[in-house]
Amino acid sequence: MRQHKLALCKHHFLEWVCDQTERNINKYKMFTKGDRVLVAVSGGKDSLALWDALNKLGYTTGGVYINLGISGDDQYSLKSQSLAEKFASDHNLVLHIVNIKSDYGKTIPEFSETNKRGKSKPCSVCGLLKRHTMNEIGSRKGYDVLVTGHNLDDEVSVLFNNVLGWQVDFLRRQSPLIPAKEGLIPKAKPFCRFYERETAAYAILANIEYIEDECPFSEGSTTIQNKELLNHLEHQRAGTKLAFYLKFLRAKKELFADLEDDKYTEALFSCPTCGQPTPKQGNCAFCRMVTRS
Amino acid sequence: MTITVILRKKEFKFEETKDLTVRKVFKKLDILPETYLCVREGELITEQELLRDGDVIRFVPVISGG
Repeated sequence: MRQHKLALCKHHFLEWVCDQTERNINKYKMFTKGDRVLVAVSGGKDSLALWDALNKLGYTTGGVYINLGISGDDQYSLKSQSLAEKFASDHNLVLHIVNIKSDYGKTIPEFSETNKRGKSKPCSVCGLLKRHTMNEIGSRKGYDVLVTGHNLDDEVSVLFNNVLGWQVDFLRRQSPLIPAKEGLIPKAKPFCRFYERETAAYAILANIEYIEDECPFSEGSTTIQNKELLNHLEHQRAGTKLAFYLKFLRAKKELFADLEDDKYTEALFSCPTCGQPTPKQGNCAFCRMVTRS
Repeated sequence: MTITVILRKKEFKFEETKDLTVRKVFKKLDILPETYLCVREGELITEQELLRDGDVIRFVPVISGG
């Protein structure tokens, strides 16, 4: 690990990932051992590695897997679901499974065909649906916090994109922990300081079976293009990505002196159909999408 | 003898195996080491690892997300 000037054997690397995960959880005040933690599981390396690390650290966890109905050449959704189920069963953990087609009548590709939001690509529809569903399951099943497997590369790619477009509101919100709001459970990213090379190495070394294939719709996405660019910078100068992210988190306090201002944690309206919060009166974007389609 | 590299369901064969390391294979295939891990016989190996005649190694992609 050039960026850390550290070389570890298998045993110590696995231990290091768990120690650092716990450190991140405490540093950013994400949650405690008394909380019920819902892990958003995709069947990929990051979410399964995170679930494994949290389980080893003794946190009380359950998982949520959302079958998006994406097929592709390799039956992407079916394959990822079976890997998520296998992990849960091998570790005797609870996995809540949501099937988009069964619950809402259409798969993600079908929703995107009939929705303005997903006109060019289904990623936007997918994001909306996942955010809604994860919060719904988390709230209904009594979890205290939702955690996702977002790693440093994910965070840095988003940060880079937000800086390129000077998306001030998005920059303000980007954080390892998104606190709870009325109707929204808090969201945390305990892996936000790990390179994705490290999370992949953890998954392999811990003998976790995960889906290596990417979502067929992610090909050519901005996130992946940004990651490739940033990896070129990292290759030239080890530690570039980590420094970019950590220095941003430090600079946020100066960039946004009004970070704790109430106007940015304004009260949301409640959707009359599903009851989840929404920034405008009337049905939320999710319910509008589901009823319109 | 050859060294076989499996990369995203494609196979690459290397005939000149003397002093061949994982890092050299990355370079030959124009791959950034930041984007793949290397697995031999189910074990993760580092960039500095010297490859042996007959080795079959697999490059595991680490970039994810859309």
